[in-house]
Amino acid sequence: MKPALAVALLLASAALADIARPPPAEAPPPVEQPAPPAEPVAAPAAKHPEGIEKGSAGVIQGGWEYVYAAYGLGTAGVLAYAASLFVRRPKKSAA
Amino acid sequence: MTPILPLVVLALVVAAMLGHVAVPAVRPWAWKAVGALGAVMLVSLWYFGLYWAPPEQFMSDVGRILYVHVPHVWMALLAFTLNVGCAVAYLMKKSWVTDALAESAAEVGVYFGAVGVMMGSIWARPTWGVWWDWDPRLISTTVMLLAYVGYLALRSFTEDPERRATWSAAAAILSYVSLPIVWFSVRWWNSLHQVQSNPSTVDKPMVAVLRWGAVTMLCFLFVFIVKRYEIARSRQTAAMELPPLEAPRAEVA
Repeated sequence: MKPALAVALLLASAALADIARPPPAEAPPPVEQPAPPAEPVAAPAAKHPEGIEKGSAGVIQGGWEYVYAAYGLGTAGVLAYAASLFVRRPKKSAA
Repeated sequence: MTPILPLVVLALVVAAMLGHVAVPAVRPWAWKAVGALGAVMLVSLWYFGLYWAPPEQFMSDVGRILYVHVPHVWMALLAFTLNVGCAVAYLMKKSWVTDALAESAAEVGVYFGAVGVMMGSIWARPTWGVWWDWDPRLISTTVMLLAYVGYLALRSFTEDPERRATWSAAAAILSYVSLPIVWFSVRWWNSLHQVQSNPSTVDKPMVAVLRWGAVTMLCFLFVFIVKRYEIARSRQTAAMELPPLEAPRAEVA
């Protein structure tokens, strides 16, 4: 009986000693090193609602559909106005 | 093409126009020759404007719209100037010729102005990001076009030819006040629309194509005014031959 009691006491004391042990000292917080300067990144160009983009130099890319529309409008306008003048032309009198 | 070539063609077109006015014998074919030249130049304008001319520094290919947009607006201003000249001439010496010419110039000017504004709107969408902006140049141009639409409406609402001619001549002079406002609006106010360029600030091929476009539209301006003038004269003649709409009150009594 005595040896068992001695073992129990030993374990209990060890457990108590473990509880009473002060927590390990925390490692000091790492000193934050200043981050190296980031590489300058160009801001993305603003997206045009219809897919036309401006490059880094501010040059408009694309837009040919607008160019064709303007030239088509000019040609169609000339033809349409000429046709309206033809329709309204003075009628030659029978006499 | 050099910038001089359009000026050579311009000299030919102006000679044909002066011949049409001064020499009655050339009238039957002068407008046809100028019209045919205009058609050929219009086809070549597609080539020069869309392919031959270099892209603009910032607008790139969208800048090609200016070769048709600017000449249309120039022709509108030219037609309105002819209109006010005829209006002043009519008030100084009454003539059905100047009255008919004023009417035709106003209608053709409204046509060129309206198409020019639509082209400007097409150009503004990819360049400014909007179809329309309430900018001093755009507002003044709209007011100018509305003034000339009102001029044409006034002419169509007035029955008496002499009263119509006198009133519309006064309206033409009033409407013309809007022209210098349109021209100088980009300098007088802080406008989104760019100021006028000149050949010293524009690359030579671009100047050449812009002049080519202007002479092309001048050909059509001339032909349109000639044919519209014939319509106006025909209507004047028909109005003179018509009996009065109602008998004078004394006769009825």
